[in-house]
Amino acid sequence: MKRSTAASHDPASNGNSVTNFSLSRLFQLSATERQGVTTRRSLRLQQAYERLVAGGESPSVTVPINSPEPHASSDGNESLASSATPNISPPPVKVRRMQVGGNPAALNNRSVGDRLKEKQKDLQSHVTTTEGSSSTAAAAPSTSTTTVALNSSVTTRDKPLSDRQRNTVRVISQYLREIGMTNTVETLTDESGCREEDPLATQFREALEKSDWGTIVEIVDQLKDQIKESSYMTLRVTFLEELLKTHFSSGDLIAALAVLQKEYPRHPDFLDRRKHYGSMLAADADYLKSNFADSIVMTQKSDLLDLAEDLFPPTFLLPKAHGSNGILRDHKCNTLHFPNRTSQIISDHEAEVWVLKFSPNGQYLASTGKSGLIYIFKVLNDRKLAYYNRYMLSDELDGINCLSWSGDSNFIACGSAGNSHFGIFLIDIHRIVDVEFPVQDHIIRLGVEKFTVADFFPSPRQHRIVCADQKGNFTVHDVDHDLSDKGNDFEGLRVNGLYCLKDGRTVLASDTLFRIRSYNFENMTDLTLIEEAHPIVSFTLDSPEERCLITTKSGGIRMWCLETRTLIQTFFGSVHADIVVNACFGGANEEYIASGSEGNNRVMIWKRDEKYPVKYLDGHNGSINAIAWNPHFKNMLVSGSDDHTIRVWSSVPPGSTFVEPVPEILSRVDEDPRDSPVDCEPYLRHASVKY
Amino acid sequence: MGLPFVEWIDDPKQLFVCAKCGTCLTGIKHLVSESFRGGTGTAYLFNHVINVNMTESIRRVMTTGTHWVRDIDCRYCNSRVGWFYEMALKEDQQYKEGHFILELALTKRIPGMVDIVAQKRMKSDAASSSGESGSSNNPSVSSLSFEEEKEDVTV
Repeated sequence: MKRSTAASHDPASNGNSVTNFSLSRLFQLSATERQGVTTRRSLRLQQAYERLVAGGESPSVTVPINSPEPHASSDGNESLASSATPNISPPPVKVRRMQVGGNPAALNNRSVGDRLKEKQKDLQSHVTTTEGSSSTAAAAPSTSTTTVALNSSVTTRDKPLSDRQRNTVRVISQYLREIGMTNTVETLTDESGCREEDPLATQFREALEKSDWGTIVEIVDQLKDQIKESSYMTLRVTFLEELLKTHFSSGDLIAALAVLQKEYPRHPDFLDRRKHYGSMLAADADYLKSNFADSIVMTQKSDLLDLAEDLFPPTFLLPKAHGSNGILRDHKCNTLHFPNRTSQIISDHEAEVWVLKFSPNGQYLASTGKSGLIYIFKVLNDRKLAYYNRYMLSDELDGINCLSWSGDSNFIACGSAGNSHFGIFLIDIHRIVDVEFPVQDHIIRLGVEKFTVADFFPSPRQHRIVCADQKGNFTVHDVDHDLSDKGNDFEGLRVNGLYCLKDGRTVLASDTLFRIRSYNFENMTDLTLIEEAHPIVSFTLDSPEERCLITTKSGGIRMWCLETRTLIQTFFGSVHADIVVNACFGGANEEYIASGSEGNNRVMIWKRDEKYPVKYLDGHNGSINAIAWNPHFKNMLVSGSDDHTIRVWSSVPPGSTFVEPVPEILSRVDEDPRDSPVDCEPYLRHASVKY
Repeated sequence: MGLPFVEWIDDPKQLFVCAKCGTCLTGIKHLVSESFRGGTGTAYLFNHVINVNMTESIRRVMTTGTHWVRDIDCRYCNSRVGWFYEMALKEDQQYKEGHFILELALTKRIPGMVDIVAQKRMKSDAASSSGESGSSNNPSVSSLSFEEEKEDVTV
């Protein structure tokens, strides 16, 4: 949020404002000031300050940080913030604008604390009645000798400091204490009314030092409301286990039993650990002693403190000096919501897997490959799939190279690979077909001897398909009404890939002349959108249909903006020169791009604005042909490869010491697929769950 | 090894495709000479062929002399379609270097297609200019025979 600098009040200022007030900048500037470098702005600030001081008035407090307008009081007042260095001795530490007046000669030699205390005494002798509702902090430091100013400052201080202000003040006081300015810290605490640390937090620290686990558990309980359920459970369990360990090592089995029975959470996730400790009760005393020797417990204290700092609300335990972030916490959602481990391996396909597509409602996954079999899986939760249905189209197919879901997620259109031109097959995913005898009645076939690629228009109420091939056929069919070509077609194209836009009229097609063009079947217009420099292997669009991701043969994966038709970014790292490899958008806010690769068997994930991958997912034994990111569960990614398997990648919670092995599962038709429950809750618990 | 990615040649007149699987190999605009013979009969010399895999370089003695050649396979179905001249040891044979031989018996000819954008350009040219046909983008290729020699390949 932009705040105007103090200098903006100064008529001489050029109106520049300080963008982005951050503590690091605060400290930065103070460093340069220490070296005697004065900026123009700092000079102005300094001059303004001198004027004020000369005028016999020290700056009074102004409006709290968050208000966007300059404060209501007269423009002679300015608010200045301390830069927390010994050289500069500005007035009270009100965290607002940065004061960089660096010329010590002009200012007093007394320390901040001393001057504050003097003024405080002055004030208190003047004003005794205006204490009122404002805290003791309010009256003291507003260091104005005139009662008028004091009143105004008192009234503005009636508003308690916002959380953000409190936290910033606390960070500042932590820093000041570290460099040894305890007087200032006291004054600051008095004035602002914020203690450096919650008394509960101090208790917590002391208890941790003394290994007083019981107290710690109570403290955790008190904070139950402020932290997430999962964090709460983890913390509680961790400390309870420490408690148990002390009981065990001292041989006090009865106390341990009591703890286990009463305190240990009965959550099913913790069942195994509970059983483990329960079994310990029955063990030999000596064994227990040796197992839970004190040394083991001690070394974990720092880990425990780190864990607590991570999981408690950030304002509770101030983590010590993580750079200059202070109360800011690292953005951790990536590990929670990012696929990083294989959670399931499906080897139903006994052939190379070439295409993977999630249905628009995110509940089903269709997969197909070299064998011409189509498998449909149901998404159970963000880690697991279950078998749903399968289709065998024809024995003569070389394989299926293209799948498209209808808008209502009930039908799939598939096109055959190679130049065999079997046409486009439409299948109803809910119909169970005997695989041994591929019955053609259940399958609708469009355009025999024509068409290799097809795409449904995404509208859920209609079923219109665009079909094309590399021999110049390119038409749209309305399957609800009739199956023949409507007569609207474009000629003179060899189409490799199709994408129908949400408006229901425009189709994007990539062709063999390195272009992506848009076609409108209603008014028969077409337009060249993108002319690439390399052969286009495949392409896809993101959900808002603003960006186009093109996998090229020799130019990497390129992202184009469709509106301006310019190249935004090229992503390097994956190989796709000889085979068809797909890439897709996905993840939170569709910020990530995932692609398989030929040859190095890795799934690569890029952030949308970085050239090189941010993550590799290893595990496959063959080139990865197909990849799909679940539109509903942002942390679920599936990849299909030449090693005949499909792997489901999902997120494993951070900080969990429970690492699960990866199982091999073969989904067979054991159960009726309609009986599997669908659990739509994403898995976010820290627990020892066996996948 | 994954779904192979095949490219196409943009030729409005005629295309040469693999006889077995139909993968596009080249177009008639790349034809250099028609007077060659391979193991299966007539063969054509082209200067640009796509969708093929090449073997390692083999030293072969042919009627015209000793050459280093690589055999060519269709990338999709792995069937043989011809060979590629890597190096010719006689100076007058060096025009063949870097060129491809496709045996006619192993390939098919299919009619080419005029690209949609080229079509539009043709129409607008025909509409705007009078009498001048902007039809053929490609120069008409006549078979230029550098030599009338027939070539035998010891396979």
